[in-house]
Amino acid sequence: MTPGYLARRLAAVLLVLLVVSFAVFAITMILPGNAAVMILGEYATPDQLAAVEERLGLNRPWAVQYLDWLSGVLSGDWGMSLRLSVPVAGLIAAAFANSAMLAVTALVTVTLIAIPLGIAAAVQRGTLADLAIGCLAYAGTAMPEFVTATLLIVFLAGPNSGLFPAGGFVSPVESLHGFIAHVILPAGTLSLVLTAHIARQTRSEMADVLASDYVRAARLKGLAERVVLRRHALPNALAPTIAVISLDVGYLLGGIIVVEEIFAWPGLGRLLIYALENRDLPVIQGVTLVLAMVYALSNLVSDLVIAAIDPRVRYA
Amino acid sequence: MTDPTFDRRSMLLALAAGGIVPAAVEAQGTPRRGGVLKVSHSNRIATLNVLQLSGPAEYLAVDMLYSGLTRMGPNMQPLPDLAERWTGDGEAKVFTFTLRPNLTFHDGSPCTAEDVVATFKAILTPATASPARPVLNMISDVVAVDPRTVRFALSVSYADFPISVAHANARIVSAKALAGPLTEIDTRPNGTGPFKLETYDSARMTRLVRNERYYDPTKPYLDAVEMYLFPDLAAESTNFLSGAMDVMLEVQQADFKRIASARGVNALRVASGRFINVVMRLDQKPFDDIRVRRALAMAVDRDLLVDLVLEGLGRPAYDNILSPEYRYRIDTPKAAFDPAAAKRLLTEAGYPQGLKIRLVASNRPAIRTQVAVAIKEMARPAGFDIEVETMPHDTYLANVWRKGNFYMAYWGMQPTEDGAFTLLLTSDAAFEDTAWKNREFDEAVARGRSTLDNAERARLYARAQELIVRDTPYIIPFFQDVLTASRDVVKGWQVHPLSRTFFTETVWLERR
Repeated sequence: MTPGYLARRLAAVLLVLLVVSFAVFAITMILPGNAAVMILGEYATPDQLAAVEERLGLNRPWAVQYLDWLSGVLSGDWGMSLRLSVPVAGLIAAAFANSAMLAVTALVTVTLIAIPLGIAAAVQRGTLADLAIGCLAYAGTAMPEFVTATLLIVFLAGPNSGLFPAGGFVSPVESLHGFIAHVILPAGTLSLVLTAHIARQTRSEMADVLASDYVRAARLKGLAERVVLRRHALPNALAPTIAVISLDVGYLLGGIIVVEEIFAWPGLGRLLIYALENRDLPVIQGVTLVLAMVYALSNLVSDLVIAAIDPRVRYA
Repeated sequence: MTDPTFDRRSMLLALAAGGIVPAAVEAQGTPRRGGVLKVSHSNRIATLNVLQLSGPAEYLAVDMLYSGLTRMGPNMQPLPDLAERWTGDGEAKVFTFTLRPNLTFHDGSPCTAEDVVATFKAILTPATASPARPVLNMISDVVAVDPRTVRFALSVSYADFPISVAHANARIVSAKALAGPLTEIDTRPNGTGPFKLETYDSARMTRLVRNERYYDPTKPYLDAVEMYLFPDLAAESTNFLSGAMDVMLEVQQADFKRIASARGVNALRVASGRFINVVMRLDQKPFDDIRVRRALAMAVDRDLLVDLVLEGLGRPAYDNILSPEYRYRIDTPKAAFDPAAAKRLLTEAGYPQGLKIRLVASNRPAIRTQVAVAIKEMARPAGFDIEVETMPHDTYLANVWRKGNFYMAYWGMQPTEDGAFTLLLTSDAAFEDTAWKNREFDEAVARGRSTLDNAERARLYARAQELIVRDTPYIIPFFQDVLTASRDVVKGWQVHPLSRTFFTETVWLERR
């Protein structure tokens, strides 16, 4: 990998962000209605509407609005939320931190559960355990998050069990115990789907590797099965899995939107839904920009990780 | 709940028989001081700007943070709030309000007549975009006579003025705050209400604490109120049922039976005048013909709609905009459900092959679509071939509302008869959307609002209601109850039919 390659990839990321921001802006502008209409609702008179549009700057030509926003972002000013009357940057920073805590918890859980599960399934190919893991994985992949989430709420947070709170958020700074109690169900929902995906990925990679010549050679050499697995099979099977995990960040970004709404988790996903419902353009723009950036960068990182693990991959 | 004629008393009895007792008749016991009340709500508190806000949870927050001159009581009468008394002249054109002594804002500064004047001037400024302005635009002048006396001069006689100033968006803001940028009070309210703001995180939780300087030194009983946002209804009801929350501000119809039957829960139904209405343009075909409107009115089975859409949690209505809670409401003729007669009428009106038409319903709240789809099916035997078009709320607001010729609207209850009439039905109504122009109705409403003689007002408003039902500018199929719930340790939780006042300062907790 050369510095030139990295520079080109980063430039591509910036271009993607620009295109995304313009597309989001254009779509929001084309739709009928605007933030002023949503703020005032049905009880607005035309002069009230005009007053609010004037105050929010929505009566300016669209190009002026977009360029104004763009130059603001470039100079570090993300604007004010039209609906909440607070700076967008602060809103997004707080929401991003909350979402990151949820996403990281989910990713760590998944990694710790899914990879051993996949290995176990591959090693015991064809047994009842493999079948059970396979069935669980299919069920996990097939069920959308809103179903998983609602089932978890009903069974683990209902008045009968009451094991966990059915939504809400406590900052880990405030109370670590409270944070863990609140994060388990939303992170669990995200993990269920991802676990299924990654366990299956690990199983198929591991199965391929276990059938390979070098594993046979290692076994013939008389190495213990444990050593064969850990030293020879695992590193080779893991490389593609790590790439898949980093690509799953993209899925995670979609997943948090649903999961945060259901579990009242004050993160980016909920902020985005709220902004969309209220046509709060600066917030919509800011959140999509952050989400697009996370996705683009995680793709880049995944490419770099693969290159680092697999000596056959070279970027120039 | 099939008899639509019952009065308020039998309503209470009916509710009590069902095991659901409205707060007003509940035994309260001796109030205890202290405790934190946790309230869940599903709509974000986007702003605390009392002059502008309009969300269901925002109304609860400002009812705690601010006080008005008067406040709507449970029986639709104005109660003293910051004003301890008021008088009107014989013509109902000049009103004088006397403030309680020694009122202070949360920051400790005094609240005087100057603040009241500044507040009403801000409301009347179009740039403030206050929902209270259309209700108060009869004010021609407001002056501070002395620090405790405010005098309003009105451009027309208006007998219900003490109710008008109880408007949720007409609560008193300090003159100092109004002199600065208005966005400041979006997040930093400085009111005179029983609670003051401690934490405001619109994405999660709003915490209010006891105002030690509230004008009633015995209240509030609670130390604090915490309002938690749960955008997902399943999570909200689960949290409430498991005891994590004390009050669920709004209960959905579909959830009500389950929540009401849970142990340790008081589910409240409050009969209210809020309604869904089918809007028909009277200046366009086909609804310019009264026979078409009548036919549709007869094609709608209102009892079934109450069962189907409201799960019984409401009362059938027969196109009279006033519900039984209004003082001057009369029983108007009821359009009987009669598809055969409706079909004949439609044929007579020139549609022997039936009438194909598109009915628009916004998706927010979902009840609009539910009623539209139900009406489509009900009206089919009468010859109406209705195609329901559902659309996102923002598109509806921009393209259909007050423009379309056949769509679903949804209105909350108004504090007065005049409020309801001039909101929708007079020729110069703020949200006139049917093009129903009736001079006799306009006159009856105008005279009704200026007369102080109750019998005369009753006669005028009765005539106004007869005219509405005679001409049927709207199909109003039912009135929807307001639903809320509290844990049984919570005493005194109540919601007003208007959902604007909550009297949280009188709520207390049995546990501490």
